[in-house]
Amino acid sequence: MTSPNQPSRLPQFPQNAGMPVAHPVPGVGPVIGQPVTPVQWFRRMPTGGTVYVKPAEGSQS
Amino acid sequence: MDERRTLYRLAAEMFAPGTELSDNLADHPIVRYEIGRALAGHGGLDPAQLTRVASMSVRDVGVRVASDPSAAEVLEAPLRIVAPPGVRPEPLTEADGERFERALEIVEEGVLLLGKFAPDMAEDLLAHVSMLAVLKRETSGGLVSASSRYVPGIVLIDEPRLPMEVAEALVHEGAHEKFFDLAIAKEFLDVSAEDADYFETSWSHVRWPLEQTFAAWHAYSCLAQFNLSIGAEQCGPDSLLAKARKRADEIGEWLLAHETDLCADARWLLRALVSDTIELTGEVASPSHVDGATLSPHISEDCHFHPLPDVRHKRATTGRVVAGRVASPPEVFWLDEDASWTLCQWRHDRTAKTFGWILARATEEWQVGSAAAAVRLEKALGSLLASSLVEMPDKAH
Repeated sequence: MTSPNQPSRLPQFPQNAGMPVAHPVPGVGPVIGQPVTPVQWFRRMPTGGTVYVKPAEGSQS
Repeated sequence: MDERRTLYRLAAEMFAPGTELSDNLADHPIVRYEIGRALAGHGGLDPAQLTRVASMSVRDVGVRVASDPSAAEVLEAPLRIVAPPGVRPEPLTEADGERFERALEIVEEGVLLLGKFAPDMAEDLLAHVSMLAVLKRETSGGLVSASSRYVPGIVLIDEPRLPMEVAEALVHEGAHEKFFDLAIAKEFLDVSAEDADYFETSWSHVRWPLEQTFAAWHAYSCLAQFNLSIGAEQCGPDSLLAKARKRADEIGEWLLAHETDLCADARWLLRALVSDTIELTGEVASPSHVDGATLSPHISEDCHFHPLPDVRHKRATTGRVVAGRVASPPEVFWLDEDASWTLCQWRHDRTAKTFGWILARATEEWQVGSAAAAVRLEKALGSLLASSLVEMPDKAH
């Protein structure tokens, strides 16, 4: 058992595991932003969630 | 991830001076929920409460699974927020004995399966998942998987029958969690997103605001990529993997048509991922509606500047600086390289410094000519002034 105050470990996977998937081609940009960018995410903090429910029982995310 | 932690550490110090968050506290979903509420202007921050919630025990099986018998109480907020109408989901915990242990085994197998099929994606997405809660099947009310921007870092899943259900849920919700992190550390969406057009899905005719549309597109894009890797592995009965590519393309095309409502980094990610399946036209994206021009006031060499007294800042290991003020509502800003360097000129003392003094240091450290340094410094100081992080005492009143 661990508690959140102990160091976390991420699972170690063999480097050659899985099927190789092409790395995304970089898009244009990034567009040059502003020197100072406000973090507005918290100002418009809705209390909803991104919920995926069984299709027969509700709308999907 | 370090930038995200730096932001939460700054916020904790803003609301409770002297509070230092360990990595694990800074990652804890309920700690982030409490800090997010304070940043939203919904009250203060109680450091003792942060320590209390973080003492809830978890079991680490590749992801940390809530296991404490008190989990239903500690995780009340996310359980309430994601609950389908009329439902009160309950987490499985060690108090459920063998049933919890069996669920834990399936979660562990699911994490390993994700890593086997898509190791890079597993490493990328699981870094954004700090905790998983497994809901008792009879209480989940049809919920397959869920996450909430209000309680970032925690994924909630229905009690699994197959490891692939866990693997898919971690891709789906891990993509949302990564998006939540990008949205607070990079330039993704601003308040104008609320006024943007809504996207209507062709498959369920539900209308989504821009933020939800972008989050769904990112999740479907990750699911589509994961689907390429799984071969003949059996999926769960509610799997979205087979539908993911078509839906990602549909949403991606809509987002491209509305990309001027997105900020710079969101547009970059959109174009980076859709270019695999959608032919992009033109080399240069049209200017964003939301990447505004920067003030570049003419400033004489003897103008004085100093940071406002309540401004705090922290530097992430990436070099970027996040600055904040406990205003009403609280304000947090990310600074680019030049603005970060400029604000850090007051790290040892907050006395007023002249433009000429700062310019001399900038010319030396940036290793550019004085004229080029002056242009960059005027832009940086102009933005710091406009954001009320720095003021000119001569013009303060």
